[in-house]
Amino acid sequence: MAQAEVNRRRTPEKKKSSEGKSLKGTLASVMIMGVLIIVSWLGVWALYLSR
Amino acid sequence: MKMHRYEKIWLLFGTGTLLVFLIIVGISAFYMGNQPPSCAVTLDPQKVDETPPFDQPGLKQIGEDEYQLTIVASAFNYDVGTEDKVVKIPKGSTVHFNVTTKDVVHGFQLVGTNVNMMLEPGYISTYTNTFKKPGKYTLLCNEYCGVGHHLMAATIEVTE
Repeated sequence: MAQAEVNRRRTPEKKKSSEGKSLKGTLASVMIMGVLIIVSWLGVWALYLSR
Repeated sequence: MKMHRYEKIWLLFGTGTLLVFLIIVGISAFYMGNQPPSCAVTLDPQKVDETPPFDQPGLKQIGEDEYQLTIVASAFNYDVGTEDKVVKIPKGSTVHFNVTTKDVVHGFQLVGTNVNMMLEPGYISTYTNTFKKPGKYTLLCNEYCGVGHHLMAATIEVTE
């Protein structure tokens, strides 16, 4: 029973599955993170210039 | 190597941002001449009182609307050259701060301005600032220096 489970996991069908995944969510979160970093940087810079 | 289109987009975005930041730091350092407040200018920390200009701390006018302010920090005091530890500066003047410490590491922060330095024994810290807004600015120590750390303060008063 356990051996059958191991054999099933070893089958190479998993290799293909990661390529077809949608990366929209990853793109969105990376861009949100990037914009946050840029906005906070600009905020600190504006504070520096205004003083 | 096969790469997802989105992966290319965010790698380009990240690398581009890094490049922009590095270019800004480069322009600031090499074109505009910005440097750390303590830039390897040294003196003997045991002879601060005999070394000019630290033998006579205080405000000195060196040009029209231009001053040099020499301050000696020690535990737990800023010697700004006046009894009441208040320095009066006319609005719109440019002040070159010239500061050192006689004993341990002290901080030098003028609250509400960009003047914020670390004072290390044996080094001279400098910073130039133009005071555009009148008011009272508190000078305080922001590096823990001992039991009297919280008492270490002076005032810069920018007058109309």
